[in-house]
Amino acid sequence: MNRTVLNSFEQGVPLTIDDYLETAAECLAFSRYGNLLVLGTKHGALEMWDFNTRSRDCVIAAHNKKVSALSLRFPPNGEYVYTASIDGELKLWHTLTQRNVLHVAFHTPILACEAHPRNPDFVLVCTTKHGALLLRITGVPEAASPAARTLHRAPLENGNGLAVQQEQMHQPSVQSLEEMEHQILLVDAQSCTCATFSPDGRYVLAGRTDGMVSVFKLGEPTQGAGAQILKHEANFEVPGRASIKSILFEPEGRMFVINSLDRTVRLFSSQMINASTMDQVVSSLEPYLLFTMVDLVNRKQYMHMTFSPDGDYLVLTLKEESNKLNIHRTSDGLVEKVLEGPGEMVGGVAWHPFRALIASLGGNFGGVYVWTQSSEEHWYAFAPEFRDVQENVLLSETESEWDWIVEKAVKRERDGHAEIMEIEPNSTLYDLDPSCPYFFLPVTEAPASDEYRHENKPDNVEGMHVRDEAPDLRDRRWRDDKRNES
Amino acid sequence: MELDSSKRRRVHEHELRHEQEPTPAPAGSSQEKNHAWHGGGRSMHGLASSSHENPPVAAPVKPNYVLKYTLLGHEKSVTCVKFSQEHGDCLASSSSDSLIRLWDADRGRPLKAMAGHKSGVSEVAWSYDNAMLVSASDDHTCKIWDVETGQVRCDLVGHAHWAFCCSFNPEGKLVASGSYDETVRLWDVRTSRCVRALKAHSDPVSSVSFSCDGTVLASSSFDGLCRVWDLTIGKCMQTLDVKCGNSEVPASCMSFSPNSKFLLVSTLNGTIRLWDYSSSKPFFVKEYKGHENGRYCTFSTFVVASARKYVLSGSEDGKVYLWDLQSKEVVQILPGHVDVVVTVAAHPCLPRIASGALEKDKTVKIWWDPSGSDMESNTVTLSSSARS
Repeated sequence: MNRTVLNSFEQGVPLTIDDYLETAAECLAFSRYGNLLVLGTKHGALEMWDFNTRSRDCVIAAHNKKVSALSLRFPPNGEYVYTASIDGELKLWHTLTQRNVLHVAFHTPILACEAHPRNPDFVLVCTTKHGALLLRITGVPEAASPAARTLHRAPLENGNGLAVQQEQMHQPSVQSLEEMEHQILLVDAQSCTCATFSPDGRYVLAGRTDGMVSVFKLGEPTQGAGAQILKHEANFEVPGRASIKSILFEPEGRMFVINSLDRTVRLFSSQMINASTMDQVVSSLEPYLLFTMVDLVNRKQYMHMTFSPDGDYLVLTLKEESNKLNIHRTSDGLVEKVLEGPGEMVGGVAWHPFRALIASLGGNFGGVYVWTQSSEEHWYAFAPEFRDVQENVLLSETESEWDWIVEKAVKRERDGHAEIMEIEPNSTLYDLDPSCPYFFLPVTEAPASDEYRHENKPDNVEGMHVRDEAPDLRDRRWRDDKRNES
Repeated sequence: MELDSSKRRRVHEHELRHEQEPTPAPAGSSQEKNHAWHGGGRSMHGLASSSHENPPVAAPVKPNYVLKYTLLGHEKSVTCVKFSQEHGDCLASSSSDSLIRLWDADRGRPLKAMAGHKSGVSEVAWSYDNAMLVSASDDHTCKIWDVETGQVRCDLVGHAHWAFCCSFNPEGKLVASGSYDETVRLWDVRTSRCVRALKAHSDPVSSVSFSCDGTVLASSSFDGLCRVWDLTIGKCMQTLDVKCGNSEVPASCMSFSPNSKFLLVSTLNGTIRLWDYSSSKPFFVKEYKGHENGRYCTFSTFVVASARKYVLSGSEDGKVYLWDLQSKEVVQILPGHVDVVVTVAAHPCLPRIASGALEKDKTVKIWWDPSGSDMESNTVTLSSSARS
């Protein structure tokens, strides 16, 4: 509803720190609609923050060691979250019930995990020992069931909905890697350091220690089992041939960046991937290198990367650098803005899915810095009919400027059909995705007063009585129906 | 600000009347307003699908609301009635006697009374899941109630004057309240902490309302303005001069339309207007007149349960008025109350409305439209029998 009243000039890059969330986070992600900030902490917990009120929705004790990576399972609204830890376990959480629905033990630290952007069945895991693995997860209960959403909706009945539901749900048994063998699709063995899905989910890019990037095509899941789903498509070489640290796609898939250990970030146009959509292997076609970004002064290694939602900006952070976010334009690769925060280095960064807002992690303590545009009031908005202009406009005072117009109201009525039910698309700043329902975590904790729960009768209402009036014919019929039912 | 003081004087007079009575509480200054959101809580995005489009050439059936129940219990003016969200099987009413009462709206039975405020309650509002109620009171606080237990869940302390209006956001995590101290405050339900105080107006704030997706907050005030706030950035984005240049007219009640495209604003010159707030020069598309409203903040709301949509408002002649949304004609007048009807509410899915009146009347009345409820009433029968 807010798109119509927002100033279209507002969008751009964040400028100042607006808020600080005290936590001990190690990795972070926004939900699709930006209402949830999902954090994995140094203590192994999964924290869900309501970003509108900037308060913790829930804390789930997920792992024994720090959460090294997390990813939102499709639909990425935050209902299901994968967490991976350096204790070698991958877990899938249903955040509404705080239930662990999948538990896979790898026995080797997991460096990264990424859920498939379109298919809830796949998740990509990067481990130190096994390289990158594509896991096919089946048998997870269907997401977003309406029953789950109505758990908190029976105020006048006995409020036992949630508790009963939890008891009925089974705890997942720990699955070892061997047990899941048939569900593992190996991307590459040891030499693979990182892997990522393309935003449409049809390709997997895997970076290797020798500076090569392998492109895999992900077939339809129904085509067959095992490695046949994943087809090797092409290899291309990153200039410099240094080991690849991470790969990140722009949200719309038009380009991607590769962060290599030669302290260089390279921005590629993803032409090749689009060109090979016709099932033709065009391995001769190199992805087009757009720009190279190097820290010229200190020659430091880049650490974390994120794109703005429209792909216009790329945020890079440097290793062992004070709290500094370099915002590069993707149109020419140059620095648009450097945001400098207090003290500690940056431990992670994420751009809000539709606003000019960046959340960055403090590397030492794990607090979340929220960067937004300046919080100046729009004073023009307080006066009716004032308008913001980008440049000064010479006032041309009309003869009747200060005349008292008695009936302004006449001009302000525009009679027309008033549609009050239908919600117009694009009325909100974000586009509602039909495949991704809106999700939020309700306020759950209620004051404990168990003895009251049993006497839910209206016994405290003496002195109230009711006159039943005008029982018409229809009403009597209605009562008869009711009697017949009982 | 003459307007300011005159309006306040009205309320003070009212208070004085109370104080002449033996009751010690300064009580129910508050008579006022309403809105109800029919879209309801979490279905904020499901609303579009659930609404069935009605062509403007719908059958010219007039509503035929008849009195169904009269609920007695409040000892002073009824200031607000609200149906619960989604099924509307529960009715909450607040009163100057500082109580909030819950009623079985299907069968017209009292369910419970919730005591805790030290002074009259001006407005009460449901959360999306009906688990919580928020109330705004003349004891300068708002309280969040646990509906199941009837206990106070938390106090929202911070207003420097009577809290006058309150509303939950669609996720039930944020409460907005408006007060006679001229601010709008946003409260975190979880921590009961004031997260933001908006110096919103230059006169008492008469109503606050969230859009159905929770991104926009609107407030109206006795200064004759409505302000639209974007909650994602917390700034005022728009000001509506709903008094239309007439400097003497306070805005008494404001609510969003179910799709949040329009604002229904009542002003104390007996006019209800439907404003399109989104353009840079806001305009109104409909104007509803005919009732009496010059003194009290009378609630107005939409009736969306029937095929045709209506606008509903109380009136100072003790009647309830229904206008056709599109044609702006008065389609039904419901007499019955013996004092000013300050509060009305519409059932979220059935053609039923509730109304409450001031001091001489003290009753809540529920009105049913038997002609329009053929299909839906069955579902309610089932759900209510399942519960008993």
